[in-house]
Amino acid sequence: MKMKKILVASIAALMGVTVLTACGKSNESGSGDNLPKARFKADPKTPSWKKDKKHPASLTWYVNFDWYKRAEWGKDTVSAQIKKDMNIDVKFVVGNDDKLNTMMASGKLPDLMTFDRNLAVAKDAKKFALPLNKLSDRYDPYFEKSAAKPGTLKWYTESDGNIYGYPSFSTDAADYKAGNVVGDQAFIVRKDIYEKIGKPDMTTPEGFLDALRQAKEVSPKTDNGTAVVQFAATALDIQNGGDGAFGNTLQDFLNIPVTKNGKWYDRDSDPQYIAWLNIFRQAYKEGLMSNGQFADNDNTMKEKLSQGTYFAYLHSNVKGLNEFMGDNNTRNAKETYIAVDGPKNSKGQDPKFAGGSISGWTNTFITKNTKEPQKAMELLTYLASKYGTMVTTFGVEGKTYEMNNGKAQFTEDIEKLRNTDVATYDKKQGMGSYWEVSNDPYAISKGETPANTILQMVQWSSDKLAPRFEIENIDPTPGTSLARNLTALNTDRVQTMVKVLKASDDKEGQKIWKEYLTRRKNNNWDKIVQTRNDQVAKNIKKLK
Amino acid sequence: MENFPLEEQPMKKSLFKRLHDQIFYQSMIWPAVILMILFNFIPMYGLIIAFKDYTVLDTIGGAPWVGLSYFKEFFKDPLFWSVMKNTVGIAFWKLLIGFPGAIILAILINEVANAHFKKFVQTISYLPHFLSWVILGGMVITWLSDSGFINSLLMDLNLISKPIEFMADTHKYWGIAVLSDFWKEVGWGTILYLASMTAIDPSLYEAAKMDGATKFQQVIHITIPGIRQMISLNLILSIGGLLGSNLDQTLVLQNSLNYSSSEVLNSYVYKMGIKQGNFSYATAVGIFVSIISLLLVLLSRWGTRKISDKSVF
Repeated sequence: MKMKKILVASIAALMGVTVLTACGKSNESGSGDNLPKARFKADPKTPSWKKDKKHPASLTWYVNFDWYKRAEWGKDTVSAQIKKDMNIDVKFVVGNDDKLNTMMASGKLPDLMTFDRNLAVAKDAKKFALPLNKLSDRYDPYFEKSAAKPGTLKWYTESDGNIYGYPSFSTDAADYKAGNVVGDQAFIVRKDIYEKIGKPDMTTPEGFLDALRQAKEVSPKTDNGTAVVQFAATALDIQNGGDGAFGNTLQDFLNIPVTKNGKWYDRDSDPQYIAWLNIFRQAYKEGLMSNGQFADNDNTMKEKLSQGTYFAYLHSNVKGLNEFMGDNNTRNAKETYIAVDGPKNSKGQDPKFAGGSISGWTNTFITKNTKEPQKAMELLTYLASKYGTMVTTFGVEGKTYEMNNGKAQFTEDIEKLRNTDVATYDKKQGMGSYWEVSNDPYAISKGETPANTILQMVQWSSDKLAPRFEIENIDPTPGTSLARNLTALNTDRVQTMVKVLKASDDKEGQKIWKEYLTRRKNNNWDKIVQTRNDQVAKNIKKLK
Repeated sequence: MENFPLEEQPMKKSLFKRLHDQIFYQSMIWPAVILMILFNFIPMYGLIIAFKDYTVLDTIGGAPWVGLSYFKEFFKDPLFWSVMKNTVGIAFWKLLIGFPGAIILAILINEVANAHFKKFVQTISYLPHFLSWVILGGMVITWLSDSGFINSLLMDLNLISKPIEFMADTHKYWGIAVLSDFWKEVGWGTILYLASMTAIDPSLYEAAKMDGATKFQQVIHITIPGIRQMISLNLILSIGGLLGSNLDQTLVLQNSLNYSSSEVLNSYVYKMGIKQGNFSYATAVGIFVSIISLLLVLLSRWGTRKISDKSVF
């Protein structure tokens, strides 16, 4: 009996504990209506940080990227200037998705958070973030009036009328019109080999394969004695459905439209695309591509680029090549890479790339946990504004750059440093390190150019850019079963690409790809297409 | 209980006294019990998110109930079944090779007469167990690479004309996983057997020798029956862990190309839950796996009891 009582009592105690844990995390229901009062009367014409210098603050900012490194706050030129301007200290914390999820679940959030806008938590921002529009109204109307981009604000206004996150690298239609956008895709070749084989036309299937074959003949070995691989493309990331450059990038090169008649267009089923996949298959079969294509990750492949391992390379992220191109040029300047015209569709049309999206890349939030909502808002205003963008992109006028005909130009030693020693440049100067909400197109308009190592590649794509805002954020909401279907499909898609490339002949390659296209139905493909079409329609309406 | 007041009476009287008498033993068991409640039972409360639409921004209690919808979803998920196939397949081979392998190795070691050589063999065979999969997996990957020593050896012996893509071939992954696991764990697996072999009465062997039994007959009729209890305990444990696939090994050996044959339940749950944030979905899969594992344990317990008419727990 006693035994039983003890048992019952301990179970009851157990339940009590669990119920308590359940209550442990209660969401504050702050919707931005009961924020502390502003320290002074804010003025839409002057950014509030100018008036708030007396109030010191220390903020913590979480950035969801392990690789995000900079010098300690105040130690590089840029953060020292921000500190001087604003009387603020920012402690950056970095991490990955695991850490982010744990943080969100615990409810203990830093003042500011930056992460990929496609994460499930970004869609639930109202649960943890303060509405930027309300913060702006109360503390810093300059943000909405002047600092933030109007097109971006409109795009980011949720159905409840609030704006929760502000993006990095957001580009609106006006930026495209003004030419303040840059492309990120290129088909690059090793200059010495390309010239040795007589600069052939590589835009047609025959020309492409012939050039690779000739390259193999004239230059079979790299400087360090390993075999030259004639063709490769951005690394695949099969487990996460990353298609490297074999999917969307190739489709962009072939100028396959993203929508047709206001509907999402299934580019994977386009005959032009399937035909070129099979050209790559032929290249693989003839030993013009290597197995490393399927095994190496992005970093390994880029390191091989810096060894001059590849003759031709189809790449989806030119900006990420800077350091590696620099290394390659230092190693052997004759073996530098240049962008040339790559695969084109059968009509010979130029490629068409997106030069940036209105949604941008990451979103930055001010959390409900912040004790310094005013200072946090001022910081975002500062970084998003034209003035702040100049600081984060070029540093301090007279010290790291000079204005010349309305364009900023780095001083000689800074320019030299960034083209030769990117690591020290990043650490000591910090230009480009505080991109979280900066106005990238404005920086371009003021003369921001990519480093010399990739300048030619970026310029090559500059006349091939067109916006495609209508297909942004059209995939099913992360965390839903439809989104899981899509993840499974994307993995299957890349695996199928590999199978096509490894197929023995054109017929088999075509068959494998067509089977995949049909197989998609098993994973709710029709519903996914429906979702995309609905979203495209909504986007077109929103953009009007 | 009320029906048996007479039998209950003496127990009731002496409970505290008995506890007091056992204070020494009790003090050893209670910390473990408390830790188990704290870390194994209380967190089980979180399992209810399998039946709820939980995101990290909700409280566990506050998330809306969705019933069995996550269970229904993964039952319909073709990927889940291919993951299941890999898990069961790899585990089955590991059991088939690793389980008797450890027993055979233990018997062999036991028969080694030279004490120094015995120690030497034991140490060598235990060694890989103490290295983590990150190190061991790295070694395996290097050895099996295009220019690794296995391919070089086979090429030099003219057995093959071009390197075999071990790590990139979906058909070879199971074999690699099973054999590398065997290499890592077989030595460690012998410890319990060797320990229970020392408990066998040496006079049995002497008697067998007198009767003219060969070494092999001694093994069959004395050694193996002597460690039977241990074999059945180990069998139950390994069958119970059949679905508890090896996460470390998978994460290290998995690559983009062998993905379709290397993804197992643990890595799948890890990816779905921790990496992609589908916590409810991953929990539902986890519960399902736990239930199957529990059934397997009960089944093998029942089976071994049938065979050895003694229960190990």
